[in-house]
Amino acid sequence: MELRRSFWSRNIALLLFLPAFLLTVGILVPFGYSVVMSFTNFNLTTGTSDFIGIGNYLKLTRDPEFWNSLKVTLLFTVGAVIFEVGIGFIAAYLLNLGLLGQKIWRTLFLLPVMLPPTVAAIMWKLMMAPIQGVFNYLLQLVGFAGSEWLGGSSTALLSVILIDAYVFVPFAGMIFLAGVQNLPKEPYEAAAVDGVSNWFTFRKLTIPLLKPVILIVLLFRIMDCLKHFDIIYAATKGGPASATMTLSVQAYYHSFRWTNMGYAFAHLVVLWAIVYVLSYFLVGQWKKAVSEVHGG
Amino acid sequence: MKKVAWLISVVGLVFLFAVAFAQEDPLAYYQQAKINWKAFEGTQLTIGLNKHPFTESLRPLLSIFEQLTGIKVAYVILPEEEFFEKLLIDLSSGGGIFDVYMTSPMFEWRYQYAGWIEDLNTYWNNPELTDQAWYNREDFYEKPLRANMWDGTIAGGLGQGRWNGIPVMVEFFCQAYRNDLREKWGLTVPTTYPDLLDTLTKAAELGKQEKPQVYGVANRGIKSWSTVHSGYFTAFSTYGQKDLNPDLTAAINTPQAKEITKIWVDILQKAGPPGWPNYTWYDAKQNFAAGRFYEITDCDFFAATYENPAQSVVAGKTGYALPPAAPDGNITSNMWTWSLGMSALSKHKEAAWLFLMWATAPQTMLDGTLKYDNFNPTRKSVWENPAVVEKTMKWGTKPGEYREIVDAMYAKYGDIRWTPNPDVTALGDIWAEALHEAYEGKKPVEQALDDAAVKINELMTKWKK
Repeated sequence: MELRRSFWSRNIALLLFLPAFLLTVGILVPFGYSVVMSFTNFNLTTGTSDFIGIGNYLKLTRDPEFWNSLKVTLLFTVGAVIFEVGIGFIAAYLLNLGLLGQKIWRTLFLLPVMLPPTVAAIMWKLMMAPIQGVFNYLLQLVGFAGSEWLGGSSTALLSVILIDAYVFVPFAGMIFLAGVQNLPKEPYEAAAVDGVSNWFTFRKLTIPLLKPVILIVLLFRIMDCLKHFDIIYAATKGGPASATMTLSVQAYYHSFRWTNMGYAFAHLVVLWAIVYVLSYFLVGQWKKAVSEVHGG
Repeated sequence: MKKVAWLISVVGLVFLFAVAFAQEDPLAYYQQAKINWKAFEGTQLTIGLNKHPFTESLRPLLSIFEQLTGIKVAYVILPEEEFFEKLLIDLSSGGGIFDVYMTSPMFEWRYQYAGWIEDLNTYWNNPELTDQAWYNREDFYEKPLRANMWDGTIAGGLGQGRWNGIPVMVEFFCQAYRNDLREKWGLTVPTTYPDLLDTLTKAAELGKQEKPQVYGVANRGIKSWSTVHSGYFTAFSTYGQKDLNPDLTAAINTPQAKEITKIWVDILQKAGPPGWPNYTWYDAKQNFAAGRFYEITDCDFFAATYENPAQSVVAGKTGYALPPAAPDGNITSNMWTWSLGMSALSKHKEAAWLFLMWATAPQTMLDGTLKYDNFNPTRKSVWENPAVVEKTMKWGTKPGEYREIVDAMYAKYGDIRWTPNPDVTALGDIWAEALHEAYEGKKPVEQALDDAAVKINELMTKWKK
C-alpha cells in the first residue's frame, strides 16, 4: 500500500503531463516532417526523396509563380480582412441597437458561418455563373452589363473575397458584438455629462476600449486568410491564369496534382513562417492593448 | 379433340413462360462463361467513379453483378477534378480504399510508373479466372484498347507491354452546331479554322438578337489539362503539332503552334462563353443542351444528351461535323477513353478482376449503351447492334450523320495525341495556364506559349535519360 502510494505520488505529475505531451508530439511530428521533407526532392511518382539542402528554397526565389502566389495571398488577406472587420463591426453595432426582432436578426446573421466554406463557395459559384447565374440576371434586369465574376482575371479575386466575407463576417461580427456588450458604462456616462459628440465618443472611447477585441479578430482572420484554401480551390482552382493562386493552392498543385511533395512543403514552410511572424506581432500588440485597457 | 387442343394450349403456355423467364434471367448470359463467379462470394469491393454518363449507366446494373457473384459493391462518385485528386491521394498514401477505379491512359502513365495500377495481363492469362473466348477481347476497337497499354518507355511504347485498363467509353472531338439557327442566320458549316473563327464570330453577334441570348461557342476552360485536351488539342494536332519533341523538350511554341493557338484564343475571346476560364465540360454540355450556344467544339458523345428531349431543347435541331481542317487539308482529333483499372493496393484483386470481366462484358456494355446511354461504345458489337444503330442513325441533320463521324474517327482521324510520360497532366496544367494568360490578355499568345515551354522543359528534365 505504502509502495503503491509512493509510486503514484512520484509519477502523478508525469501522468498528468502525458496527454499534453502526446498532443504536442502529435502536432510537432507532422510539422517537423514537413520541414525535413522541404529539404528533399520528395516526389510521389518517381519515389525519390534525396536530401537537396536548400535547393527548394533557392528555386522558390527564382520562381515567378511563387512570387505571384505570395502577392495574391497578401492581396486576398488584406481585402478579405478589410471587408470582414469593417462589415463585422458595423453589423455588431446594428445588432446592439435593440432593434425590433433583434434575436431573429442575430440568428439570421449567424447562418453563413455554419455553412461549410466549400458549400458556400459552390453556392456562390452557381449564383455568379455568367450565363445562368442569378447575379447577372439581376444586374441585367436593372440595366447593367453582367460581370464575368469568378471567370475574369480582373474580377476573380474580388469575387472570392466576397465569398469569404459572406462566410466570415458573422464570425467577426459576433466577437465584436460580445466586445461591445462588455464595454464599461461609466466612461460613456461621463462623456454624456460632458456633452461630447457621438463621433468623438466612438473615436476616443469605443475604439480604444475595443482594441483588444479588434486585435483578436484581426489575429484570427489574418491567420486564416493567409492559409486559405477551400473557398478559393472550390471556386476558381487558382485561376483564371493565376489570378487567385494563393500559396496554399499553389502548394496543392505541386503536391496532389503534380506529386512534387518536397517543393510543395517548401511553399508551406514559407507560409508557416509568414503566419508565425504576423501572429507573433499581433499577439504582442494584443497583450499591450489588454494592459492599456485593463491595467497591469 | 378437345383434350388435344387443351394439351397443346398447356404445352404452348409452358413454352412461352419458359422463353419469357429465360429472357428475363439476367444472369443466364454470364453463366455461360467458364468462370466461377461465386469464387469470391462475401467479398466487398469499393469502386472509384467519376461523375459521368458511364457511371450513370453502370450503377443500375451493379445489382446483377452482386447477384451473380455474391460480391458486394460500394462506390464513391466525385466530379472529375476532385475524383482524380482523391484517387491520387488514395494511391500515393497507400490508403487502398479503391479496388477498381475509373482511369484513362494519361493518368495510367503516372500510376504505372509509380506502381499504383495492376497489370491486367496477369489475370487475363489466368484460365481459372478468365474465359477468353466468352469475353471476346477482339470485339474492342483497337484504338481505345491499345491506348490503355504501355511498356513504360517515355515518349513511346503505347499499345505495348502492360495492360492498365479496359476501355468503357471513348470520345472524340467534333463540331456540334444548331442547324435551325444555321439555316435562319444563313451560316455554313466551317471547314477550316479561320472559317470557324469567322462563322462563330458572326453567330455570337447574331445570337445577341435572340431571347434569351445565344452565345457563339461552348468549350471547357478551367485551369486544368482537360481544357487543353479537348477542342484545342484537336486543332493543335490538326496543324501537325505535338506537345513534346522526341528529346522531351516542349514543342508547344513552334510558329505553327502559335498560329493555331492565336486563332483558338481569338475564337474564345470573340465567341466563347463569358467567364470561359471557369467553364467546365459539365457547364458546356448543359448550356448547349439548354439552347444557349450556337456551337460546341467538345466531346462528340455529348450528342446522347443533346438528342434526348428529356434533357435538351436542341434535340433534333443539332448538326454534327468533323473538326475543321488545317491549310494542308489535314484533319485529326484527340481521343479520350475512360477505362476501368485495378488498384495495385487492392486486397481483393481476383474479385476485382471478376468485376472488370463483368462490367466490360459484351452484354453489360450493350445494356449500358442501350438502356442507359453510355456513348460512345468501345465494343464493335455494341456500336453495330441494330437497336443502337437505329437509335444513333437519327442523330444529325441527315440519317447517319453522327455515326459517320464516329466511324471516321475510329478509322482515321482520332487517336491519343499526347506524348506518353508520367507528368503529362502536369504538362497540360501548365499549358492551360498559358491559354488563360493569352485569353485574359495578360500576355500575347507567343509569350504565353514561350513561357509555358520554359516551365515544361523544367518539368520534363527528370524524364530525360
